[in-house]
Amino acid sequence: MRIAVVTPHTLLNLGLKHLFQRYFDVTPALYNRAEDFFDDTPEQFDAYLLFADTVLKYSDFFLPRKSRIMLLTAHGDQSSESFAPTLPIDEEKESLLERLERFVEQLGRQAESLPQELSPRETEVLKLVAKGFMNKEIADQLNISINTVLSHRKNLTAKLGIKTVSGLSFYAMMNGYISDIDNK
Amino acid sequence: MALINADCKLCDVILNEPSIIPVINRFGIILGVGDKSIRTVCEEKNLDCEFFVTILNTFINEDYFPENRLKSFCATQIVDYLTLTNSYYQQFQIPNIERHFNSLISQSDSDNNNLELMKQFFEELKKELLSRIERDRTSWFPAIRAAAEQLQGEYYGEHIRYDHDEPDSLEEKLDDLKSLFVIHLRGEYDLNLCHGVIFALYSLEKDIKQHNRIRNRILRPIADAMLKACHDKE
Repeated sequence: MRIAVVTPHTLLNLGLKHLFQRYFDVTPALYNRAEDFFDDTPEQFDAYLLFADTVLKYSDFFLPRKSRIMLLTAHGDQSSESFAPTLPIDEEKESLLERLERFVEQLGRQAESLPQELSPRETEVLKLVAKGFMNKEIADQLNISINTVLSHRKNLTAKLGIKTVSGLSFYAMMNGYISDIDNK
Repeated sequence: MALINADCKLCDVILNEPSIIPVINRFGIILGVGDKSIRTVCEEKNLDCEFFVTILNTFINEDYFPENRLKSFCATQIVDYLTLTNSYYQQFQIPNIERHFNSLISQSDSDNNNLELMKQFFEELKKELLSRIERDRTSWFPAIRAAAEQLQGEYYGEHIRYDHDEPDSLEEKLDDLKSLFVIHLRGEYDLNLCHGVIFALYSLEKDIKQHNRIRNRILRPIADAMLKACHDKE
């Protein structure tokens, strides 16, 4: 999960970084200046933590990404709560963590929309990968583009937790998709 | 864990972080270390204390990697250390995984061919690791030693370049093997022996990751620079 923290307050940014690293095993990217953030491929992030004024100033970018924003608030300001989850920066640590936990969970649910079972197409790709065919050959056999093959392979790795060709081959054998590695 | 220094007691470090036991073994230190400081132990064993402490710190803290300090050590010292880690894989860690794996298979339901297949996957990984060790022993390490001899301490620092980490196929395969166990294991099997195999795989993986960081980010750039300097000299 990639998180961007965009506020002009260095200590606040470092504090958030510490909380994310310590409790969520995520290292957010920190930006003191919104300009630096926009120079750094802002689309790459799954979530954004920032104050409402930054969101308003760059609303063209942030409004379509509303579901991935957490707003930092100060001085008991509750006006933004209906817009997005908020993080009042003066709250106690325990409730800060609770809010962050809910936010991270919500992001996790959005990311989890991928069904865990292999689709019929993914199964076909898996069999061919396991038999030792190259991406180009798989694309030709299934009549799909190389990019589609690559995206199926990416999903296979995400769903199975297995990256290498030989790992996929053994998985395929363990599950009866192929009977033997050398039957290409 | 916080960084350790030469004045820490070696026993405290081991008590906190027993995974370094194989690392200290490589330096000829065995358990029963008493309560001496690292500095004293190094003096007694005639070890370069700064090198020893740096290796321990990079082993304990995955995100600690002082590239500049590591580059200041001489290449042959790094080659010596990596040679020791290689022979540790060969003589202890691989046989240890195999021993556990074999008992796991023999004690588990014989209809369960999952484990046999996973063992075959491990054999493939083992073959890859052993052939890398063989290439190190017969060609790469001797070439570095020869270059060091030829340069005799001459400066070659301006040639040191570090590009980026390539994905390492050994690390990726170990990762996959762990996934096969953790996510995809089926059937009846002996729980304790299974834990034994996984634990042994994790400890090999941790060691190989540290070996690879030193190998790819330190030794390779230094070796390339040395070989280039030798080449320029000729």
